[in-house]
Formats: sequence, structure tokens, C-alpha cells
Amino acid sequence: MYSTVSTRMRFYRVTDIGRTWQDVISGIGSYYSFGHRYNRIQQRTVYASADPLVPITESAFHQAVKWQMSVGQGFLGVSSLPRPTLPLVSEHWLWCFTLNTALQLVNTDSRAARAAFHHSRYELFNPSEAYRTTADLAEVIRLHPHPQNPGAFVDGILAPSVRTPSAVGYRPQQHIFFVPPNQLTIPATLVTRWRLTLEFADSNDRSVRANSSDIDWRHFWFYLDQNIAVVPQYPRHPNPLAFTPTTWFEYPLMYT
Amino acid sequence: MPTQKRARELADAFEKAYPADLPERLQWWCRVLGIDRVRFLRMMGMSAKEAKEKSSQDWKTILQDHDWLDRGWWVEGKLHELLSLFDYDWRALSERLHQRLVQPEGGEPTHVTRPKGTVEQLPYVPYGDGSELLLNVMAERGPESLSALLAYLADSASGTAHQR
Repeated sequence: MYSTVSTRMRFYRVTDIGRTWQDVISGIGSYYSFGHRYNRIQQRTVYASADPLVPITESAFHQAVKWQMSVGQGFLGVSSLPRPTLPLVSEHWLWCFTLNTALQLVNTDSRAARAAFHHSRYELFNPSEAYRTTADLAEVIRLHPHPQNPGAFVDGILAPSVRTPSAVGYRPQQHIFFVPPNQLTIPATLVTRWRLTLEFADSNDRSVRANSSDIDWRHFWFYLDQNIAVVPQYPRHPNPLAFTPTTWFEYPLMYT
Repeated sequence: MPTQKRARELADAFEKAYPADLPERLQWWCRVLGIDRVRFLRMMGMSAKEAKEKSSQDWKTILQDHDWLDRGWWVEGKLHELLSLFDYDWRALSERLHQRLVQPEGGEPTHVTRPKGTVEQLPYVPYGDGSELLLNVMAERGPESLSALLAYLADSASGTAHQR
């Protein structure tokens, strides 16, 4: 049921522009808004993954939802949101960090965890943005004893990524770290960061223009720069690929 | 591509201008959006009376209270999220908040007259106050949340806000 994440592992997290390293490891981004899949409002939680494609894909999903909302929120009246600027390009940061101490996560997709916390596997893969069930599950797990430190609680959750496509023999996962109530951040060290650009194009892979007839929301493009380092391949992926900066990559995205 | 270059420039400018600490960030939002601090204190959950009382305190003092600190982060996050819809162009967001809606000249012609009688507004929104309704909507998850925030800030910018 437990999964130990070591200090040798590299983790990746995507944030908006204007976020500092302190923000990255204090859970800003999941903390402030309305809660997320595995946290309620004001439960500081750092969503990351050892597979860089997971946070990139998850953030692409949220960016798509944001643009879709802007497209559909009207253009009359003071409360109408601005129409998205075309082409549909957004700017972010991809952060890479290591943990300062090994942490113990509960693997929610394990048989033992399902028996212990009485949840169904399909609940973890619910494509809806109704997060109450998984947030409730996380609430219970937050109070679960740490397997090695008496009196302490587990450090977080290992959960499947709903938005990142699976491959044969590989299920993308999110590493979700709880920020302890008496601390400002999780214990982590910055390795590096890249500027991340996301784009949604039309079904002919052309940038979206005012006269585009459609937007291909099922795929997104991403581009890394402002760092010459290559994002190393994730070895557990069946088709591991390193991401070279200043190269556009296309990847699919799961809505249902 | 010009638009992509512009998006990068706006993001870089925001990255450079945005302070690192929460008190300075909230002060920055007040300044660049031209919004009174009381409005942000109300967003944090203070009553109108409480917000008015604390309006003369600096952000650092207010945020020493752990509860207000948590709520301050929530407000900061909402504003950040709203600005991302404007491609981090805070001047465009500010202009949007301060623009007046164009009213049709003289109103629409009508041949219907209202029956005579007294007018009493029913309290169909919480406390009978539009701002309260917007605060409630923006605190909920959903597509209307950011629209409610935009309307709430614009309401403040236009000086039409009602306070209990």
C-alpha cells in the first residue's frame, strides 16, 4: 500500500507565470482555489510527478478548460470574460526538484489501499471535475499513520493521472505531497526549470485563427526553452523520450 | 509569430513586476488594478465593518493572523487566475475593470407604463446585496466563478458598490 519516494528521484511540477520556487513547494496553485482532485481548499498540497509528461498534460487540460470557459462565457456585459487571444498559446514554468528526505505515499491504486480506505478503482479515474469523492479520500489518508514514524502521518498520495493517456504496461501517476500543517513547504531542493509554452491548434495542426473552423482539444503542443538542459526520458514509460528544448512536441489529452 | 511573441513579452513583464511575498503581492494588486483594499478584505471574508476597521492597517499586519493569511492566499490565487485569462496583461485587466458600459442613448422606446404603486426590492440575493451574491458565486467552483470576480472588481472600480 505504501510507496517510498527516495531523495534520488526527480519530480516535475508545472505552475503559472509569476510563481516562485517557494510557491512551488508550498502548494500554491492547488491550495488557493477551490481545492483539487486530492485536496480541499486551504489544504496545501504539491501536485507533481516523476514523469514530466504528467504535469505538462494535466496543466494542458486545465488550460484547455480555461480557454473553453472564455470561449463560452459571452461577450456582452461587465462579467463576460475576455475572448482568448489567438493563437491559443499560454506561458508556464516546468519545475524540476528532488526531495530532501524520503517520503511515504499511499498508493491509492493498490489493492491494499482500496481495502483499507474502501474506495473503488473507478473513482480514481472519474473524468469529471467533481472532486468531492477523491478529496474525501485524501482527507482520510491525511490522518493515516506513517508506516515508519510513530505519531506522524503519511506524507502524501500516489494516484493515477486521469488526463495523461496510459500505455500498455504503464499507468501515468501523480505524486501528491501534503505540506505538513506546521511547515510552509515540503522538504525539497530545486534542480532546474524550463519555460513551458502550451498551444492548442486546429485539426490540421495549424495555429488557431479567427477563421479556423475547429480547435483540436484532444491534442496539445508543448515547447520548452530558457534552459538548454534536455528533460531526461522517464525510464518507466514504454516509449521513453527526452524533451529537447526549442522543439515542439504534440501529445494527446484525456477528457473522458 | 507576433502574437506568440507578445504573449511571451507580457508573461516576462509580469514575472519581473510581480513581488515575491504575499503582503507585497496584495498591495501590488490594489495598486495596478486601482481597487480599494476594502474590496479585497471583503473577498477574504471580512464583514463590511471589519474590513473598514482594518483598511488602515498594512497588509503585513493583517496577514499576521494565520486565518487571514490563508484567505489572503486564496484572494491572491483568484486574482492570478483571472489575470492569466488576460495573458498576464494587468493593464488590460485594469482597463477592463474601469471601462464604463455604453448605455443606449435615451433608453429603448416603450409604450408600456408600469402600474402605480410603491417599489420594494425583495431580498432575493443574500442580504439583498449584489456584491454579496458575487462573493458567494466566486467562492464556488465553476465557470461562473471568474466572471463573478470580474464583475465584483468592476463594481468596485466603478464606485457603485453597496456596503452593508
